[in-house]
Parts: sequence; structure tokens; C-alpha cells
Amino acid sequence: MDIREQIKLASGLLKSGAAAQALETILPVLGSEPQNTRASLVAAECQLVLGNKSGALIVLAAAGNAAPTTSTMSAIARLLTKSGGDPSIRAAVIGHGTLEPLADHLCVAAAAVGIHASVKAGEYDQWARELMDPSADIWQHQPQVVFLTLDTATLLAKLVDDAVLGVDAMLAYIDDAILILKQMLTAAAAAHPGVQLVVHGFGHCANVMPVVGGDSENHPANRLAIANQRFRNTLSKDVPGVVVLDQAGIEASVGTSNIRDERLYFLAGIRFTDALMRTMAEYQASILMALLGKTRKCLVLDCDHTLWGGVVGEDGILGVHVGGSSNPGNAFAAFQKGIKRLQSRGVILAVLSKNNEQDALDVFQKHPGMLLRETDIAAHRINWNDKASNLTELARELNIGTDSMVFLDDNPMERALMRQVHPEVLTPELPADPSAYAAFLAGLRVFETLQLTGEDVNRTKSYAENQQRASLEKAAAGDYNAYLHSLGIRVQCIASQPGSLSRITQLINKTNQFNATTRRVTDAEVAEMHDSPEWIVIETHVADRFGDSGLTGIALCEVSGSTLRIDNVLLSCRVLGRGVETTLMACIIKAALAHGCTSITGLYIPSAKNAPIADYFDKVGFTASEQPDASKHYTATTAALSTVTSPAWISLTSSWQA
Amino acid sequence: MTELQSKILDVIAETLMIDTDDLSHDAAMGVVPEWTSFAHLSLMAAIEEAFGIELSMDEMSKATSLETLTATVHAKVG
Repeated sequence: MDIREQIKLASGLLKSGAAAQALETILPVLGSEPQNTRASLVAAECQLVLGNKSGALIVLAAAGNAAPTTSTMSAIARLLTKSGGDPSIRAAVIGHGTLEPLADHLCVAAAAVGIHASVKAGEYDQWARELMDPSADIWQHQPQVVFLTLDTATLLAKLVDDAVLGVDAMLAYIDDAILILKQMLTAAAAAHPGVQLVVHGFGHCANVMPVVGGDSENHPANRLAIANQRFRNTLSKDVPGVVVLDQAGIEASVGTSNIRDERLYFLAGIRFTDALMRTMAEYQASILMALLGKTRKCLVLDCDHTLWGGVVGEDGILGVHVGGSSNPGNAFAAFQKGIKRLQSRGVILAVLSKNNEQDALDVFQKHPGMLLRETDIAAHRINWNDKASNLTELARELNIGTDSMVFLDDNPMERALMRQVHPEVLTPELPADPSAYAAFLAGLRVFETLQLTGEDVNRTKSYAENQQRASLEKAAAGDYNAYLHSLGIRVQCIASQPGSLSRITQLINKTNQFNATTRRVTDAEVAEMHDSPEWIVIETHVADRFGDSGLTGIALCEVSGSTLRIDNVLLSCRVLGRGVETTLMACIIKAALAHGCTSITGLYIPSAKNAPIADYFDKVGFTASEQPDASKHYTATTAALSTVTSPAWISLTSSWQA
Repeated sequence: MTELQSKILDVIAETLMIDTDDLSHDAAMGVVPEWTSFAHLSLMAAIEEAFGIELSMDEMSKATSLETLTATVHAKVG
């Protein structure tokens, strides 16, 4: 049968309600024409009807990738709105010009990272009114995140149009414009607490003749950079929680001659080409990932042909190619440099390789061209077992979920196996050519955390220290108590400090296992709780003889009359199993007493991952009442909890005084 | 129907993701529900690619029906 006829048949079956049959009909078409947009859309709709949303998102992302045009993007967005059910996140895109195509691109970029986003486009040029008017349409959409994109030539017209503007006048002009934006964003943040605001910085202007000579500071090439620097500094300092995207950098990455199609601009007010919108949307999607706590934490690396050229078992320890100035060693060195950059941002590195363990470790230790050394690797599995089970073990050893891992391997068979056994692990197609590895890694935007905090940077170190703790634990297996005493654990439970707020948001949004409700928050919500007299936000710092784990525990409590309500309580998995959770509860009780409370309530909402906290409240003496939705409400009087004390092996260096 | 017109119909159907059966001789932006002003911009890009031609802003803004589009392409490819 002709392919067109077959698509028609499948779409007819789908319309008559036979989705499973329709899917069977359309899959062979996709097999022979994987780039066929219509077939992809029909297949995705079948999967949505059959309840397989993640499968549908993969097909839709592939369709968007194959034909990244405005019409494909809008067809995908329409399909998700029609058949996708509840979205995982709601967003709005506002700004100058026509924004529907950008909203559709965001929908597809989100699908590519497994997120169903419902995106509302603001009206043409209406961003200022939309920001200030709570009755504007975009707020009816109840967005959790709002992206604002502004036209430099409109907002900073003089920078572009006035060639003889003096330096002082230029700076004053820029600061005036930024001040107005700052005031509007501050007002919008206050009017819509909990909404994450994201602003694209100033982009390049189209159709401006470059100036070759001329003075330095006031040179047109300098003006945009100065405006962006002042914009970013002012906003990040004065409007907490606002994220600024590097629009000029995004534009440079697609080429400043590909920023807009003049015909579409003058015909329809579309300010960006599809290529540019695609990259902008990828940046936006990485913010959605961070907000949903879907950021990846760990990079799992194969060795032969991935970290170095050649096969260590055949070519010998010094015979593999890495480092030096000739190819392919230089390409592998550049890739390792990229990996080290990620490590310095807090990404954990693990190695997963089919090799004799000592051979591979020798390369890390002895090869002069290696940038990665054994101390950079938080955990490894180098043996001949299958990689899928090895990866499960790595996750257990590192105490992280497999869904926070990214697996890089040059071997398509290994990638296919991993995708089949662990679909939750991100296993991207590594380019076939090692010279493309470094660029590929830089484009892998799945590690985004909205703010880089001190704890991120120490994380790898801290994980390595955990490995040492684990060995000590094995040695003292007979006497766990003695082991705990030997750790010299020091805990600090204090009221939230202004400098900790972004770390607090980050921890709440990234913690999955020991997290009573898994409710996510925005910077603005945390700031509000921090400021409110009714709320007690407790931050917990943990250190021991092996190192400082930093801010790794949080309790959010609200005092109402004589009751203290624990809104949420959580600990990073890095500090679990050492009694810190009991110390934190003891501090909550002390805080309750200090505020004159006589009873405490708690809440547990079960998730796929938070079993470790399931019996937390029961253990210390709360009474549970199970709700129809499987959550549990807990209550206890402070008198009943008076026996809860911090374990003897923990020294509490500062806490509430009752 | 000429060969040119039938090829144009194919491009329209492909771009709008509908069947050629759904397109009649009076097909136009606004008449065919999928042929929206945004879809029109994608359609223009698809036409340019399919026929190896470049359309001006004026041509794009006027070629909003099968009839005018066929005339525009015909004038370019001869």
C-alpha cells in the first residue's frame, strides 16, 4: 500500500477509536520513513490515546527534530493540547513581536527532554501590560514560569540609532531603561508569588552597519555588551529569583546572520528564525527541567573509544590515544576537558566499562595525556558484566536515582541495551566522530541548576568522601554504633539565613528520596517563607571527619496558634542513615516549644521514590491518619514527643533553645 | 489540473498535514482551516524549497490561494 494511503487508514482507525490498531498500521510507515511528520503525529496521537505519554513525547521530539519548521511545531503543540491530558508544567512566553511560534518551539524542546509543557503565547508587543495587569490572558493560563523576550532596537533605540551618543549619556540611557524593567519585574514578582520569571537579555540588532574604526568604550560593538552586563547585574542583585538568559550568546551560537528572516519579520512580526527559536527554546526547556527537579546529576562514562582512542586491552596502557597535539588524542583530551568543566559545576563522574579493571585504572593513573584521574571518578564498575546491571549498582553506591544519570558510550549496541533496560537513564547518541565529542557535550543542556552554589562544587568531593565512609562502614560491620561514633558527625540546625535561600530552593527541588511531600518551590516562595513571621525555615548543615556536606537538610514549618505544622521536611541522600533525621526532628520540636506550640502536625505524600521517609513520623511517635489519596496526616503533642533527642554520636553545634 | 498545480497541491497537503483530497480548486488561506497565517509562512518556505525559487515579501503576502500561488510559481519556473 502507498504510504499516503496507509497514513490515511491509520488516521481513520484512530478517529473511530481503534488506537491500538492505528498504531500497528502506522509503525511500519515510521519504520520506512522515520522523518515523515504526518506519520509521527498520528503515531504520537495513538500513544497519547493509549496512555503512553513518554513514548508520544519521544516521537514528537523526533518529528520536531526532523522538520523544525513553524508548522510542525504548531501541529505538535496543538496535538499535545488536544490529547495530552494534564501538562507537567505551564509556561507563558511574552515580549515584543509575534510569540506563538516561539511558544510552539518551547513545547517541542520540552518534549525532547521528556516534559509535557503547556505554553501560552502573549499578545503582540503586549508584554508590559501583561506583566502589570493580573487580569491579562497569560495569567488565566496559571503559568509556573514566564519567559520575557525584548527587542533591543525598541527598548534601547538610542544605542543603535545614535552614533554620537557620549559615554556618560549612553550609560545613563541604559540604566534608565533597566530601572524601568527592574521596577516592572519586581512588581510582577510580588503580584505573582511562586511564578519563576525568566528574562532573555538584549539580543543583536538587525540591519546595523558595523563601524570599523572609532573610539573604544562607546563603540557600537561594546554597547550591547555593556547593556547586558548592567542588565544582568541589576536584575540578579535587586530582583531575587529572576533568571537572565544570555540572548546575545544564544544568537551567536546560531550565527548573527541567521537571527531573523526579514520577510517573516516585515510580514508577520516574527523576530526570530526557526533555527534561533529552536536554540532559545532549548535553553528555556533546561529551565523547565531545573524547576521540575529533573536536572541530571551524574555522568556515566565508557572508556575505550569514549574517553580515549583505541582499546586498552589490545593497545596497552600507553598505547591508547589521549592528550598531546596530534589527532585523535587531542580530540579526546578536549572531550575530557569538557567533562572536567561539568565536574567543577558539581556533576558526579562515574566510569562504566567492559575491561580488566586494572588495565583501565592504569590508564587513569599512568597515561600522561589523561586529564581525568582516578580521584575525579566518584565510583566505577570496570568488569565484564552487562552494563545495565552495573549501572544499577553504580546508582546504589552513589545513592542517587538512575533517572539522574546520563550514559555516554560510543557503542550503539550498549546504548540500545541501556535504553531498553533503563529508559529513565538519558542515553544520547554520541557522535560517531570523536572530534565532535566536546561540542556535543557542551550542547547537552541537562545539568542546568538555576544557580551554582558552593554545595554543587563540593559535591564530587563529598561523594568521594562518602566512598571512604562506606569502606570504614564495611570494616566496622560488626558494630555499626561504633562506626557512627567514629565519624564525629557535627550538625547545625539554624533558622534560614538570607545567603542560603537559593541553596534551599535548589535542595527542595532536587531531593527525591528523603522528602516528605516532594512539593517543589520557587525562589520567590522560599523568600516569602523566610520573611514571614509565621514560618520557621530550618536549615541543617552536616559535617564529619571526612568532610563538610554543607546545607543538606531543611524543614519548612508554619506556626498557627498553638500548632506547628510541618509543611515539608527533607534531607539530602548524602547524609541519610546516620541519625541526622532524628536530630532535625528534635530541632523542630525545640522550635515548636520556643514558639509556645503544644502540638505538631506532619504530612507524608508517597511518591515513586520517597519510601525512605515513609515511616519517619511514625518512628518518633506521631499518630497517623491515612487519607483516601494514600497520603498520611500526622499529629502529636509536644509532650508525647519529649523523648525525641538527637543521637549520642551527633554533636549539635547550634540549635533552637526551648 | 496541470502537473505544476498538482505538485503545489502535494506541497500544501504535506505542509498543512492534511490529505490532498481535502483540497479543492478554491483552496485558500482561511478557507482551509489548517491554512492559518502562521502555516502560510511555513508553506511559503516549503514552496521555495520544493521549486528552488525565492519569493519576495510581496509575493508571499499575495499568494494566499491555490490559484494565486500557482500563478506566482508558474511565473518563476516558466
